[in-house]
Amino acid sequence: MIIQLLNGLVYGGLLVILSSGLVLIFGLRQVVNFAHGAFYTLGAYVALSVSAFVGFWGALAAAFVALSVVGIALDRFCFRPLQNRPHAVVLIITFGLFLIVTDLVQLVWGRESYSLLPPPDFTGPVDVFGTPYPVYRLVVLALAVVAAVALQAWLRLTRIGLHARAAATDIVATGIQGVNTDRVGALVVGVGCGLAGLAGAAAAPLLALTPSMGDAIIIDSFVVMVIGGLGSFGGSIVAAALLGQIQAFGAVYMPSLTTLLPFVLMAAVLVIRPTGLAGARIS
Amino acid sequence: MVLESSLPLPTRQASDSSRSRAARWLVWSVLAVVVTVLAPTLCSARVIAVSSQALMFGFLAMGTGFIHKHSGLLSFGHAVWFGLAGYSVGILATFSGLPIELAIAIGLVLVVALAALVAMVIMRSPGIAFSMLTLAINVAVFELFNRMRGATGGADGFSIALPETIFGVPTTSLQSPQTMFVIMGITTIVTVGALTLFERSHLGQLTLAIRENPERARFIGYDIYWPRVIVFVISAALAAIGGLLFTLYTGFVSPEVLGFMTSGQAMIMAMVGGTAAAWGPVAGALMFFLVRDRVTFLGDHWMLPLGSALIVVMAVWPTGLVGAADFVSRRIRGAARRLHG
Repeated sequence: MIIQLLNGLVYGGLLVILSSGLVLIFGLRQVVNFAHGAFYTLGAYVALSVSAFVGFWGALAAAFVALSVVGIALDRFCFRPLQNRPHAVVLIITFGLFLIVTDLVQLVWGRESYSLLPPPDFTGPVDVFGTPYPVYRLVVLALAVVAAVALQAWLRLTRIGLHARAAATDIVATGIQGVNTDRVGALVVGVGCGLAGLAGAAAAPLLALTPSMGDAIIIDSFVVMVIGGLGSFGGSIVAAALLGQIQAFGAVYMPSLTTLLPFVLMAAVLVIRPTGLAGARIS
Repeated sequence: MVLESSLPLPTRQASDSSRSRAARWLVWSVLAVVVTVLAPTLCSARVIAVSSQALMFGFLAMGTGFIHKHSGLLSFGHAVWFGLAGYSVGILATFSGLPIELAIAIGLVLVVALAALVAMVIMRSPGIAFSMLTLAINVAVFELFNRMRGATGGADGFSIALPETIFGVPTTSLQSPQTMFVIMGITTIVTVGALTLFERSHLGQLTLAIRENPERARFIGYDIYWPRVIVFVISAALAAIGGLLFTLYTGFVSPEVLGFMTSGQAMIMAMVGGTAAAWGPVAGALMFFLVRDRVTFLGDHWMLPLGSALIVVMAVWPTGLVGAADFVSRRIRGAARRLHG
């Protein structure tokens, strides 16, 4: 029981990191990054490759930085030049990018699956209310909380965060006030994609690394984002916690239906509140 | 304001009279029928085999293109309807003992009914959420069939028991590329014609108005929910017809056909072909399959060139082949007018 609860929290934590990145990018560019799952996968593989040289924590940072650079390039060469085009064009382009990145991962690392060991200090189990539990999973949970708090602190307390929130409300008016919105866009999309890389690297010791490892979790984070109300951090955190629990308990009590359970939740939410849990904010 | 995502769709100029347009339709459809009937004798057997498969997936692409054209929505999950049609007809034909004709009818009705139920839920969340949800549903359905052991064979799929004749046509000739190509060609031409007529009907025009500006359509007094549900159901039915024909042709279904990669490919076909006219996605499908048949040397690494091609098309020429054809025909007509002085 407690094990499932914790597993749900850990998975929910990963979903929070991933969907925060999606929400961040969506807020500014009104586009859902369909390549986000591929960035998650890429983050895991980057961590795998550099962990031998810089250790696990260095690899975690490297994945974040590498994917941030990818995100900055994405903003510079895709989102910014195409910001006056219909959102559907940009959406399809990110889908094309998903194909490219997935294939590149296969080209560079091949199709076989790899595993990444957790950091040496956090390999064993730990005692949680009398039940042994892998300590690394708790590390992932802590990491998710730290990432979410840090992101909110950045957005609420710093000047650049203020600019980012202003640009998400009205990018033109923000530019007129003298804010360099190009730089804000690069930063926001960079951090958003970096979070995908961070989530991938953090998840790497929990499961096998394959080129399609991002497919399942990105679907869940899309569901989280829709249930949460697309542009809302609070909504997606609540939805991620819910979905994490549903997946964890479903895996034990209704294993054949786990893939459908998120959609039952989603259908229920959409019938009652078509714009999601925090829907009022976007419409 | 809800977020509406729609591509720049060229609304074709209705400058010419309806009589000359009808004449042009007639010329094009007669031409298309002639090409369809002659092609098996003119082209190599391989091209015919590839093309008849392309036309089956062309229906899937038409469904994807139709919903984009009439609601501005991008579906990343139409392979669900393509695959479910195959599964439901396959299961009914193999295990229920019903005559195949009845199995086909019931199977299609079941899929369309399910599509209507799904549409009533997801049409409530317009724009970008729709795309994410269709993709998510597709992955879930794929996982469901992939894991389902027993009769449907899980990841391996299963062979369908087909009788000697289907609607009076011998099954062996239905499964030969030469005959199937002609059948596919004719059904495609009829469907393209029907979709073009739908566009000009009251409902078709209303859906275009809703796509352009849902708020304004509602203020005029139209209900904007049900027309969108109908558009979704029609597009799912198109995909289901394709899936049905594909299943009868191969006599086999596996979860692969309802994977989200199939949906993604259909999206690519529709976008490369262009969605402004009903023939666009079909042209896109033909191009996709004929090119893929030539680049087998790429092996497993087809996603990289495909993704790059998609990005280039979307960035440089987002109206696809339909837009290109419009551009060329406008140029020719302009030149002709200048010549006549």
